[in-house]
Amino acid sequence: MITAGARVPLTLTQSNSRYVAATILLCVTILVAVLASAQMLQGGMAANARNLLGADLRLQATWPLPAEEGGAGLPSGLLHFAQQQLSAANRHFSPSLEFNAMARPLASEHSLLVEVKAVAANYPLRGQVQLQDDLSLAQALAGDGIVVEASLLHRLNLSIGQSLVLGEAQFTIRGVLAFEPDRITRLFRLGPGVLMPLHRVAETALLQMGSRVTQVVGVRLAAGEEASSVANSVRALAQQQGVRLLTPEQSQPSVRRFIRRFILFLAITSLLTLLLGGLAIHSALASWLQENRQNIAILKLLGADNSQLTRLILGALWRMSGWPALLGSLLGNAVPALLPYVVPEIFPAETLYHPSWGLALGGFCFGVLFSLSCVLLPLRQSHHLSPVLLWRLSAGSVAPAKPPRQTLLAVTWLALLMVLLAVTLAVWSGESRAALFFVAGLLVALAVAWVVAQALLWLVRRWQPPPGAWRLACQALLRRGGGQAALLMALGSALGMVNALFFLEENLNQQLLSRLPQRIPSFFFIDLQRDQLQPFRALAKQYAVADEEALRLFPTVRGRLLQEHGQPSVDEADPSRNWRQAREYVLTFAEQLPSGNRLLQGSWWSDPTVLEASVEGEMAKEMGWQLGDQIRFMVHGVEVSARISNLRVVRWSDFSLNFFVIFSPAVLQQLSHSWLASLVSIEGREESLLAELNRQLPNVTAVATRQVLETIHGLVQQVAVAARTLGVAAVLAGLLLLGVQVSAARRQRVREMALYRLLGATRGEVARILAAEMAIVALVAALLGLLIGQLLTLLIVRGIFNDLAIFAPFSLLLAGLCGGSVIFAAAWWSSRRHLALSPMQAFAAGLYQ
Amino acid sequence: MIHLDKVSYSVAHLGQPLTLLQEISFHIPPGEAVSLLGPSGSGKSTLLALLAGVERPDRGSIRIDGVELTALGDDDLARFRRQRVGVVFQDFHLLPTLSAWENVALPLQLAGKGEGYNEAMQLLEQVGLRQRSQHRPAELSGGEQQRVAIARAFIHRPQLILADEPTGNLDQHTSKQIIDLLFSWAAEWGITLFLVTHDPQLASRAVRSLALMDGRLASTSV
Repeated sequence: MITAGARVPLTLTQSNSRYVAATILLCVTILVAVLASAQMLQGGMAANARNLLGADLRLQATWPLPAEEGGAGLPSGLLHFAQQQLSAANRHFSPSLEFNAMARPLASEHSLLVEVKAVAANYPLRGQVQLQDDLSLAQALAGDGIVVEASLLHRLNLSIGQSLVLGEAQFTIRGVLAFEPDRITRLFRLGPGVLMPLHRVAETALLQMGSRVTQVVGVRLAAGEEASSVANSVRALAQQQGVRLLTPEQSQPSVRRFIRRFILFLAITSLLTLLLGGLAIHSALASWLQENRQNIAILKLLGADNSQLTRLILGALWRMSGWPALLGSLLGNAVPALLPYVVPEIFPAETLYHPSWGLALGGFCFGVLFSLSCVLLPLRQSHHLSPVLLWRLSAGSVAPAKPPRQTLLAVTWLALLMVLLAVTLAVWSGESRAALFFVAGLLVALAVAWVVAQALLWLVRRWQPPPGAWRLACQALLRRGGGQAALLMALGSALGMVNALFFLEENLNQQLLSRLPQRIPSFFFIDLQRDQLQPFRALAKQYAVADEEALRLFPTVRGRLLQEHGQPSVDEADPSRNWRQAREYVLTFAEQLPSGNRLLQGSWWSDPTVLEASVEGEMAKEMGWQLGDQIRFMVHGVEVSARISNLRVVRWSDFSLNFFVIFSPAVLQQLSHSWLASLVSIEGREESLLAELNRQLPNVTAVATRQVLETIHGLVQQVAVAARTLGVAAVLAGLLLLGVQVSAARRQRVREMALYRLLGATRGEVARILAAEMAIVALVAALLGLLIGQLLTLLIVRGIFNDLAIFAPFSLLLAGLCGGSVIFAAAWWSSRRHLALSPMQAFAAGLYQ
Repeated sequence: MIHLDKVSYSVAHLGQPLTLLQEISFHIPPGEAVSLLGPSGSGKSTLLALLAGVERPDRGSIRIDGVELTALGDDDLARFRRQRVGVVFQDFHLLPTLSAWENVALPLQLAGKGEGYNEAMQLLEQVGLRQRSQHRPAELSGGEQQRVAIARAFIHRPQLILADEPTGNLDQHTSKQIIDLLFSWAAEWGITLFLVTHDPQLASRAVRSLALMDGRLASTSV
């Protein structure tokens, strides 16, 4: 009995098996690399969860709680609450404060935004703070000591032993932070980190009424105690007090959310590679079975039934796909080990790499099953192949051509597989909306590519160049059959993805960074107190540009959304899953509709004494809120509620001060609040403004917009590195498909060339015809790539930044030239050997039949 | 052995039916050698394909060894072929990736009768190719390839051998060797032989000759 293990009686040509193997290797490597990276990030988060929290349990609050009698200052109220509710044998508490502030050297007026963490002597309760020299944290923070990140020293031109001023207090830099257990990632960081002793916060005078500060109490539980059960025992009371409880599983929610979306983005982007790779595998296998149709007919004539034939074909497929699937799964597994060196912002060195054998096995199975799914259609076709073909071949007639719908069927089948994979990813990540957006974008791009490819081929068909190389090339191209449209679609969409990334970067650079001074505020100022408004306005008059909108001031409080029954509307089991409900909102009140906002529905309040609210339109849509609905927030431990009287459209991309929710003055005016300001500074005077601000109002934190944008830009760059890698992988998959198509048309092409040579064409003339054919493919694919790239850029820039994409002719030309050249070079390389064959060699090789 | 009763076969050509065989009826008893003659395009190969069960007639009945082929499905026809039919082609149709002995043993392997090495080597010895058993088809001459193809057709001792111009690509001397081989093995094992040929020398070796003309059975001679 012939089995998969027996010698395969089907011809395995080198090109077929090489392309199948290379494509499976690429697809499996990409998929496993993405999943292994995801696992490394999430596994790292899970394994170090306690360390990431710096404790077993973390209580945090953003407004003061009633303090124990005699207790003074922050976070004594929260510490009192923790001790009262959670005190038990062998439990330890560590209070700390986290806030932003301006830091400056003693002898300089140049200041820098820093992220301060003021900690107690027993910090951290889990994990260890590591300093660059041999000092312990306790030694470094003794006396007037302070510990800073290396980037602070660099940016303020300071060194260890020198003084640093925070607010009204002066410190000596004693150590440089090498590792903080609860601040391992530099994602979303606006400034370098500073560690200072908690008991010295009061001396800085930075924290005043309404200051933006997070109070934290870490709890170390006794051995054997479960953090979640301890948290559950006090959760209800904590919610009433506005205290948030975080267990190790919930540490760093914003980082977790970013990671989940980042992984989803990478995974879905890699689907394009899988789709194109699948198409390449399908084409290679279809071509392989087409070449073997005579052998299959012989086997059928000798009595092989379809099940035996299926076993034979799958056996051959196993030989082609087994080892690349295995190698790909191992290579993909090794990729995360390199990431801390390539994208350190996202994968810090502390995220330890452990190869996952489960994932390797999964990747291997995926590779084999993926190639199996790609052979189903050609297999079905081989089942319908009749042995009568043998008589037809004997009679010299040509075997029936591949049905034209075959390629379309394959694309549909693969697209369905991709959608299935995307849905799985969406369910896994909990980001179904984002997944849907990505997948819809991918499918629309493919559909557009398909239609445009058909249209361009139609144009080639209509084009009648004068007799010569170009005419022969056009005719040859059209003789290649229905696979051309699929090939152009694949190449065009792969190039389109790379182009879109390139154009998007261009847009980001030009729209955000280069236009900064004219369009957006230079600074945001946080924690302005009521009595500081007058000196601040005076400063603004001196440094702001002459424009009514140059200075904008809003009273602000912070609050969390409450449900109907007064509970925080948060899934405490995983708050990062429902960002809208979980986040803390900066709320404001205003008598007039702020400039830059436009009413979408309803009307602005005319009577400031009524309890009304204005909500940003997109947020209202996501929350399911409508005009007339009552919304409730917990603000500083007080519940406030108001009726939604209007919905607004906000232009977020201008970086001015904007709010999701604005209340009428009656709702918030009575609560203590600080002020938030934005200011467009006179160009070149930013440094002196900061120095003056630091001198007059040292507690006010200034965030430079350029700094925010640079942080975003840095993050985008890191994400772009990963996305670009996947874009290149998609182009590689497209080129493999090109190689398969060239290889499949090998017999036809060699026959044509032999004929040209027999009819008197020189080798150079034949080469020109071949070059013209490849040039048409490259030109059409490059045009398609530009079109898709530009289209995706327009949609993304319009959809995300609410702005018009910049049209950059030079970039378009560059992208088109690069894409076209790569495709031309690959196509020429794939078919170069055909040129070398003489007509007699073609006869001898049996290719001229 | 073979019963054909009013067999007709047509194909669609430019939307119109083109009749290739019309009302063909004949009977061949077991062990008889019959040749089929006719000009190109007369329907000889089509008739052979019908007898091999790889084409189905539009009308009529084909019974071989008591089995009505028109009633069988594709897989049953495949099993029928691997048990009872052997086919020899003008173009040999050997599998290029397999050695000579592997090509010969293939029907036994397909029928689940083991590797078939010994049986294949016995037949290769009888056709004088034992020393070439490890060679692939591309390394064999036309006559050697045809001897391998004949050994493959006979290895599972079928009841019927269908040969489609088996000497069409061979020189005269080699053709005689091949004809001798076909007839001697068919006689030795009592196998019915149905030959399509243009070669009068080959046709004369058959007990009976049938002639096709424009898809109709024109004459029968003994």
